[in-house]
Amino acid sequence: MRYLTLGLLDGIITSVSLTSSLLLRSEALGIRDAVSIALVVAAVNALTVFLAEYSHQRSSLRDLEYKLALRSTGKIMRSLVHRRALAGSARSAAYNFAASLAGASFILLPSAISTRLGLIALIAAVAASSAALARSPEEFGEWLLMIGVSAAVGFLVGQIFPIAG
Amino acid sequence: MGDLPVRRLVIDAAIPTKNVSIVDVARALYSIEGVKAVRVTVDDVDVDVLGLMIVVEGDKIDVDEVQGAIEKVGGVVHSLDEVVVGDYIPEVARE
Repeated sequence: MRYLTLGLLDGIITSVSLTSSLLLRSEALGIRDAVSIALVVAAVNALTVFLAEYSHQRSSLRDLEYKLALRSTGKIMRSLVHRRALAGSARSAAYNFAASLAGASFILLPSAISTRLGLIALIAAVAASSAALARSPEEFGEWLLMIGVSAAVGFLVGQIFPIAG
Repeated sequence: MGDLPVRRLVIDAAIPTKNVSIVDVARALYSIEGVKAVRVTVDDVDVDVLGLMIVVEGDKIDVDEVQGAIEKVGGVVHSLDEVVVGDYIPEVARE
């Protein structure tokens, strides 16, 4: 769940940052560009998640080996526990890839049709993610504020350091 | 210890609580040649570690292979608490 949420928000915010200059100048992206950016965003996010999760798992396994044996032999790195931790990291990265791709595509594909649709998609994505994460109306407001501010900062960073277009 | 006719082992071992279960331990031990039966009992529970009492019975059990199998699933052997060697398993004298 943690990596699904992270992937979705990362996909939304990164794609907004990369294309904000186009959105503001009312220049639509091409479909090919939109798909390429969405895939690159999702792949980079998934690789980052894999490396972060796997390094965390390795560090936990080293601590665990010390707790089990009161010494570090490295044998745990050749065990079933390590292979399962590796598979778990790969699974987290795959979930993150799918969520990032969905988040980025949700913004970029409408932007490829028209910039107006892109901006509407951005607002809808912020509202939908807030609704998905919130457990109460108060939390919805908090999430809306946090994700809205994050998207706005991403938009601003894209304006200051424009990449696309 | 491969040439000794080891029939029964009682092992004090520990495994992590995450990513491995006592079923994995039992499966790994049962796949060893000569092992006829395995009993894995949890005798201590910590946040990250499960303490186990493992009983392995069979014919000509390779003790090193048993220890290796426990390590391959991610566990460690703390001590070997009982070994029975011979043509049969002797009764334990009870007072």
